Amino acid sequence: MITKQYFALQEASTSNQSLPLVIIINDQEELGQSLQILSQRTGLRGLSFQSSLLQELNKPSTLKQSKANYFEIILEDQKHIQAIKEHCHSKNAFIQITIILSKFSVSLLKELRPICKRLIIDFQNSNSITKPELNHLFAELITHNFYPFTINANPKLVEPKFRVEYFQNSQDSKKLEDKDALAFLMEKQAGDLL
Amino acid sequence: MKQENNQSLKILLLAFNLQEDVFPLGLSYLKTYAQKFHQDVNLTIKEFTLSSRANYETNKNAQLAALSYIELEQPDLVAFSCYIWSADTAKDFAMAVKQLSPNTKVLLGGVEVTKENLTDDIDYIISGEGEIAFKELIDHLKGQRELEEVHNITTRNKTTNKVITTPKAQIQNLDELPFPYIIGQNHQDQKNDYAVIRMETARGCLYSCNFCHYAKPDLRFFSIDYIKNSLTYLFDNYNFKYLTFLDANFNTKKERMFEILNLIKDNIKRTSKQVATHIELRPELIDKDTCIRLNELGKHLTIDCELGFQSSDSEVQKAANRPTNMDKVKQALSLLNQYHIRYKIDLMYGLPKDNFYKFLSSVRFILSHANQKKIVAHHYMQLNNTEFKTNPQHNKYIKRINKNASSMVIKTEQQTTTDLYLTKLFTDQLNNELSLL
Repeated sequence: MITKQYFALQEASTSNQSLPLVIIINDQEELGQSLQILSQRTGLRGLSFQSSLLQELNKPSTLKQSKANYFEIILEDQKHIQAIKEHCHSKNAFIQITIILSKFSVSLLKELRPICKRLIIDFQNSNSITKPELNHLFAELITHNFYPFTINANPKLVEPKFRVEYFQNSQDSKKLEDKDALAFLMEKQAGDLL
Repeated sequence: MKQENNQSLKILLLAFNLQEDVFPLGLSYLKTYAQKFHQDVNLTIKEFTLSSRANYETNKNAQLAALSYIELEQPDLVAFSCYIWSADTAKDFAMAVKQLSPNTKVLLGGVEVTKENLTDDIDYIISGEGEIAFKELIDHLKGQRELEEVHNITTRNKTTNKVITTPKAQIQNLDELPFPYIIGQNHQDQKNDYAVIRMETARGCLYSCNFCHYAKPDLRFFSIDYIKNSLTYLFDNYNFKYLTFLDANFNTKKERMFEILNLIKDNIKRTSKQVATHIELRPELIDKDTCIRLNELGKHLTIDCELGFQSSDSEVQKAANRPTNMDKVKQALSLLNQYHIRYKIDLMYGLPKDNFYKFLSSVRFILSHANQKKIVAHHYMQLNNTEFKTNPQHNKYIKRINKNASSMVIKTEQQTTTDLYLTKLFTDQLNNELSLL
């Protein structure tokens, strides 16, 4: 998970041209303007949005024809997977999908595997999952070739290497007990991709 | 058809390979060296191509073809060249050979075979460099030498049935080895068209990395005259796209390296052949002068450099007996970038003392200093006859998927199988993301 700069549409034009950019959008209007900004850029140029946004888009997809090559999508409903395929999926696009644990089922993995390069399970700070349940979840993710990323998981239950917060450097690094995990965070310098 | 003359010893040198279009260098060294002393022996090289291990149908047919050949030709000795992908196949195959042709002797050879491979179906093991041992084994089969006098061999004493292993011997003057590519001395139907030509200019290594075979034999060099003649012969008689040097560290002797690269440049100019050269370099030995000269040569020939690096972590490097001056590596990468040298630098995961976070640090090092946006990370395969395997202090924590054969590591003191597989999954998704940059 490489370091990127995230901007709302209003600030996106002030972003550093040399760093990967992800614009966070909320509606169709913002989508159009964001695509214009991304069309001026090279490298990793992405969008972050909720899957219901795709339901409102016309076909054929303008998104698919655009220069956006990276999509972070919060999957609100399984039914939206078809729209992701229609509007975002292409050979070169990187699609990251986040799904909350209560909406996740193992049966989704086969459908997501061909389109999704990174799958994140949102634990929503739930403490109800047990270690055997976590192991089962990870075993299913791994056997479907997904590295098991989580977000908002209990740090006492889930190791740093599985937590998106760790790679985003937003975790209180001093609390990490693993010295090598801590060293990786502490040695990060401005401009490092990882 | 087998001749009645008792001097017409018939030996089949057999390999199961994975790529059809690669010259059988190891077996050819054995054959051409043995032929110097035994012109009367019928030595034949045969290769059969396996598909992936999962491809049962292809592999079954490759084995049937090889067995049919043995059944019809009835060799006195079948000598298998074994490597990581074929050692198990060869062991199983030996069992089949003995069922079909009980009088045929079976030999397993290669850098990874060990005396533990000696079974009821296998008569001889030659481990490591085999030219002297193979020649001496032929002496024995012809009644000219006692078996105990054959170097570097593991076998059973005929009288006592006790397993014996004789002292090792290696060629000291590499120029004594006939150049294996000379047409007519090797395959009867030898072709001269290969995608890749592999060549040695040295054997052994200056360093002693615990995961590597090159650490074991002494470092020796072919003479420049030998190499000059060899290259001229290759360019005059073969068509090939890639010339790959197998030397562990091609820049061990800088002036020598450039002498050889200039010979290639001259041959390319002389023959107008489009050939890319692949060399492996030790990063710490790369200086500004090296890069300037590689850059200059790059105007005349394509040179692809591979830098063995493995890990940026000092504990991992120390455990592997590969201490690395990281400042020199950074400087080397900076120079390679500055002088636009084509290179790639690889990592290895699963080595002792390594873990996921140390791997992440190694990845960060590559992304920060190397001019490449792809991480090439190899899963550590533990090879027989390397220090990590033979030294119990190292080996006690290492588990691999096949206890006897060289194979992938599945557990170390620091990492589980899942940890290792997660590293692969992480790298895959990271590379997908990096490809967008």
